Amino acid sequence: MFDFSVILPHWPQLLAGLGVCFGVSMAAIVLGFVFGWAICLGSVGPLRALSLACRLYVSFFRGTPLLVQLTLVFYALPALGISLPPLLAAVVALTLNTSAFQGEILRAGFRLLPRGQMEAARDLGLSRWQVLRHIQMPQVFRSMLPALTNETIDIIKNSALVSAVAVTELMRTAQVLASTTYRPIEFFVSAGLLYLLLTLFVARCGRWLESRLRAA
Amino acid sequence: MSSPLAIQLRNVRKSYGSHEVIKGISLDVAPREVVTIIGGSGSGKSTLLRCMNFLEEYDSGEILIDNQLIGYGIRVTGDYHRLPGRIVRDSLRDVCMVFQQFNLWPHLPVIDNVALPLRLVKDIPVAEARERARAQLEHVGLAHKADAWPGQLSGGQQQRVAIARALAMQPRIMLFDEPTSALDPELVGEVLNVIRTLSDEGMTMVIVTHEMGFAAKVSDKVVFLADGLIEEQGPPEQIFAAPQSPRLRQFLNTWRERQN
Ligand SMILES: Nc1ncnc2c1ncn2[C@@H]1O[C@H](COP(=O)(O)OP(=O)(O)OP(=O)(O)O)[C@@H](O)[C@H]1O
Ligand SMILES: [Mg+2]
Repeated sequence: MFDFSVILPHWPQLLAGLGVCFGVSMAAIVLGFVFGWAICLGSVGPLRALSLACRLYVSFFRGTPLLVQLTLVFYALPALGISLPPLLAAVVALTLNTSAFQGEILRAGFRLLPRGQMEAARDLGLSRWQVLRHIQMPQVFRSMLPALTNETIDIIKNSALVSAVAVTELMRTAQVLASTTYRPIEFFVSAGLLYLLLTLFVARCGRWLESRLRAA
Repeated sequence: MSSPLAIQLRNVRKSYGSHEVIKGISLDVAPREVVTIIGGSGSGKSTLLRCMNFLEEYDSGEILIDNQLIGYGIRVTGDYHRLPGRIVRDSLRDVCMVFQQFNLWPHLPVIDNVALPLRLVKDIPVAEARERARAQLEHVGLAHKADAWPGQLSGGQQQRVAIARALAMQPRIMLFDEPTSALDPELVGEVLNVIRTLSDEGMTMVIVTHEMGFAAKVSDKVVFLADGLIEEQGPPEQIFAAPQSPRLRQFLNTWRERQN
């Protein structure tokens, strides 16, 4: 009944799809990490208006479906005269989305730090930025690494949604091949396995980084 | 003309919301003098100390360190205005504080806890900062723990690292807020010994403590705080042997009962 040999000739396409999925997700995670810090610092910072803006941003991107956000980037931006190639648009949408989540993760990390550590740093003469850079950020990153690994895995899985807007990543490739060969089970199972391998690999990397960073 | 005083408080007041915690305190600390502050819980000891290095902003009055007003500038009109953080930090570079909870940075090895402020604040290159940090750790008897993580040390050792970290900045004034209160009884002595050495070396110190025996031995002046005011102050012989105010007498009695 199931004949997995049908996928053999199509391996290169599936792997290429996996590559696009990985590339898009990683670009979004890395860019989202940078923006996430900005959003986190904005919302814990002293400027009221900025803090409010960051919170609104987070509420929007956390509270609406990714598909809605993708559609907005794809169709609303061109209406405003900004048109991006599909791949770039996919990265932009995923970045906007994950930066909201990563911002929240990092903000939670800030609240866990005992205030005394920052007071000692200030007392010794460190500037606000130095306290942030050398005392707070490394510890927040460290304690939030497991949550950030989870977010990376979420983004990899969510990236399947960008197939809806004409990016030929893994999911899209599987859909196309399934319908041309009439073998949906074989192709979707294969795609699923590839996603699983990728997320297992990411989880592994996360744990490796954690153990490297762990203070004894 | 320079004043002979290291720290000068003039009618300092501080409120949290509508709750006034420091109600007008004046206090002089001469160079090389050791002043201990005692008093019941909630009497405002920590708040007063934290005003001195501007971890808390005071609301009125004046705090002068080496004759320089801390935290505020005075306009020609006579108004006070809050100075920017950079200037406040600079005017407090000679003052360092040691906290009840040590407040070491757990993500850095002991040596870098001491070396980091040297690098960042004094712009000393890494190798030299580490060198100096090691010497300072030696001073508190912890050179052999230089490469350990703070979490691997006992409370007493952590507090000595915190003291070394402060000393490395070469302050002329040290503030201690209950430096031994978080320690197991058998570890109190090692920290008090380090503080006593500092007083022998002529460090100007203000120490909040519940260790009355220690206060009696090390202080030039003892200040008893009650309800945000100085209830009584004087040399330790007077404060501990011949207290005048009834509240101080009661405070000392309660303390003695607890010792037995
Ligand atoms: N950040 C704060 N916000 C509001 N109230 C505060 C704050 N810090 C201290 N207080 C209040 O100010 C008063 C004095 O507190 P402070 O910590 O100075 O007392 P203390 O003499 O150091 O007491 P302890 O011996 O318990 O350390 C207390 O009533 C306390 O509840
Ligand atoms: Mg206190």
